[in-house]
Amino acid sequence: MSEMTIGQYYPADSFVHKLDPRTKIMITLLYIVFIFTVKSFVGYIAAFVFLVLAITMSKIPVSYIIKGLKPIMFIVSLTIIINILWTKGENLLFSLGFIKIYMEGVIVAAKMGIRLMLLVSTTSIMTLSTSTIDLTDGMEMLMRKVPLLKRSAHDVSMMMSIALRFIPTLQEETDRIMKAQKSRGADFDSGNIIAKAKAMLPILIPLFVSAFQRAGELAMAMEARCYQGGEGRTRMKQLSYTKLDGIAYAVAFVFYALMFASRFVNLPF
Amino acid sequence: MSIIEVKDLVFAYDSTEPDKKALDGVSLKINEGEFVGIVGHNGSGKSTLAKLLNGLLLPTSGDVLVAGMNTKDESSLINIRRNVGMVFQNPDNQMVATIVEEDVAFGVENLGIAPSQIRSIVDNALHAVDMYEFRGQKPHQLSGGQKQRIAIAGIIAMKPKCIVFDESTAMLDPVGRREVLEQMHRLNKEDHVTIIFITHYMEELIDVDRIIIMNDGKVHGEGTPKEIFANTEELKALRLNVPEIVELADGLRSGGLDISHDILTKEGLVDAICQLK
Repeated sequence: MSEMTIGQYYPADSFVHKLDPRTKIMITLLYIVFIFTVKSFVGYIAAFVFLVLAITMSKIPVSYIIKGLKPIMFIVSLTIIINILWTKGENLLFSLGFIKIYMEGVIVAAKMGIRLMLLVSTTSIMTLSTSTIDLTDGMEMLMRKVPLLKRSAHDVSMMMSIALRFIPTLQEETDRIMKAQKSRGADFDSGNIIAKAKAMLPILIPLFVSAFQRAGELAMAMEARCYQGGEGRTRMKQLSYTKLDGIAYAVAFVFYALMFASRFVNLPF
Repeated sequence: MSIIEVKDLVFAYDSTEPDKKALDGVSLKINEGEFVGIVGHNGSGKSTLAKLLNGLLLPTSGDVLVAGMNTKDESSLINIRRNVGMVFQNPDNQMVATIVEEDVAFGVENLGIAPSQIRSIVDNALHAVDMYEFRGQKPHQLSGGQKQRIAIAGIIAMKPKCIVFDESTAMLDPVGRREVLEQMHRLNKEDHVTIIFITHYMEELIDVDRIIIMNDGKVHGEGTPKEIFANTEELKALRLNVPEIVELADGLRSGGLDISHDILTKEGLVDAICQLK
């Protein structure tokens, strides 16, 4: 099985890569919040400029970002079609039988589409420029700041990093089980969807059994190495903010302000 | 001085069936700095014994004392596990982190050591197992032997007095097995770490200080490798495989050649044959 990249980290030496993972997570989260406050196209222009700036500063090829958009294109098109067909307005553009398309609908649909694509692109810059281990560390540190999530912060990040650690191992195992079952005459490729789903059972059952076994052994190995949860535990790698993080926050807030301010400017769009 | 003392140890996995004992009255002492091999066929209780040595399992009756601390005393468990490290059989199922150096740091981080010190401890441990240049790799990119060496690094970073290897060579190819064996001997000789090596490959135990044979949850016998291998018939009766050289020497002896019972290595046997008249 070919090497699957999880979290699809794109290693590079750039401004965005050097930022603390906490900064990147926070900026992305706030970006998502502020993009929902945008009402006019001017706001979207500000949001788009921020995205372009982030892409250039991260040295990530645009093709990677576009690749990241592919899986959501179906949802985007569906949203656009639904919005065009369902929004009622005053300026009728086109009508055919019961289908009536209004100018307002087109505008709403376009905004929705833009919004979704901006959201996904910004998030993929974050995941492309941060290694999974930094990402889980950053999330743990941020969750510790939130009173409600404080107690489970360590557990959640430990679970995430163990899950990521075992994805390649379980992938290899799936591959091995599939080959073993095929060599005994199992057929995974023919028949309809139901037959195919049934054919997956001889793979899934041994995979589950072994995953539970692995979990038991891992738990024992962790205990043998004095693991007792997050309390009293230190970390080798410490996250630290630098000047770069300050700059990134400052720039981000300028754009947030622009995005938010665009609500109050009266423009035709 | 003994670092581990096991007294009348009885252990049953299922408390509803106390008659099915995995261990039945085991008593033994492991001295500081010793290299002890524990052998036995499948189901002899050797792996169960290993898990009792650092409190992963607790005795049904009897006691396990590690440097004077009882594993039944919950408050000293962390201290016991810090003193008795453990390397398991499956290299994949004991790696926690996604990056090699993070995995080595795992145990040290659990002990709450200051972050500024962890870096140098981890680097030293990686150098000790000769895996420093692999520190940034992902575990699944390594061979089985390399993964076991990382597991060993993770244990020695915690500076234990004793390390239990629970069939740690069983899933490795011959190269990986040799790497791990060399590591064990180096730790024992240079750093004076007590090694308890559980295995069912007798040929891996030729150079140990003492061999303990387990059978049906009991200690069947113990002695130096020379004493143990002198009695090949008994080993075969216990379904243990005798090293090839010992078997060959045995065959030559029964064929009427005058070969000593002390011979355990190929070189020794060659010497002995050359000296025959």
